[in-house]
Amino acid sequence: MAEHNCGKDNCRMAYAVPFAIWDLRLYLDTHPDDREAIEKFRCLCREAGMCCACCGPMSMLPASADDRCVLEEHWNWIDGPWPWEPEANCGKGCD
Amino acid sequence: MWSYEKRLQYPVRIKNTNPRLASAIISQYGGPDGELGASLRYLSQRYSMPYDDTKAALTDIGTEELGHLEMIGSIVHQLTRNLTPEEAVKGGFDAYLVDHTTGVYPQAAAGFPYTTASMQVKGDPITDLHENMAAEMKARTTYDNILRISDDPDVNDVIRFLRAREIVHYQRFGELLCRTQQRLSEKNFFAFNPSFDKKQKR
Repeated sequence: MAEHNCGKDNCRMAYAVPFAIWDLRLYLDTHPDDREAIEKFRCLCREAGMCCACCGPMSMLPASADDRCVLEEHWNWIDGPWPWEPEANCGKGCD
Repeated sequence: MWSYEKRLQYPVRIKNTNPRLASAIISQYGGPDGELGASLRYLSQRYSMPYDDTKAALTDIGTEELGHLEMIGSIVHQLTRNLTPEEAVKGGFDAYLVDHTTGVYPQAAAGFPYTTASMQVKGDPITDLHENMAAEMKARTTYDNILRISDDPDVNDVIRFLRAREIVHYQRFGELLCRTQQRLSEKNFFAFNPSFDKKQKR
């Protein structure tokens, strides 16, 4: 990576680590049960102070926001229902 | 829904003004194989996809393409931000300048405005995934062509990053096509629309 815009260490945290996390997300979408990749993903998320599978794309939430994802052995980001499906939408009187 | 991160996916810092290069690179903003079309294609194809992995990948890749759109916009902006009218005329940028000054407008290098006529949402997962693999290769070829005509190292560094992403996305779409075909039964050996026909049977 060209080291403009920032110094070397800053570049790792500002660009390289979020990029590695993002690229692993795409890989996990098609390899959702690759435990080694999930572990690598978690490790990088910890370095970046981000939560992992439970959050939306590129979410920058603290690692403690949801610890459930640490226990998962499956990339549950892909699991439905998806927002455009009626099952994902709470109607009136929904708890 | 979406939220915005106030940074580029990869840094863009261009020293030299170059209107001729800007008018070529703008094709990846609003041209037939550009990032806007890529994003809109993938995000629109999600609704008719029957499988969760494909919905997830289209969401993620469609989102990343919006980040690439922003990077291309940043390149065009930085190549023209200090542009003088004389430089515009000399660099073949006068027609663009008359229409858009130095605003970033979604158009092809050949000048025609962005159109969805260059993309497809067919509602058939097999067809759409093939379309997407072709789209990634068309974008990769466009980046190769930009590298053929550009001698600006600041620009080429960013273009090489974007080119590499096309290859990664092509790989992911290939895996999705493979996973989709594996889910078809012997009754659908020729891979006709597995999502629509399944619905009709119910």
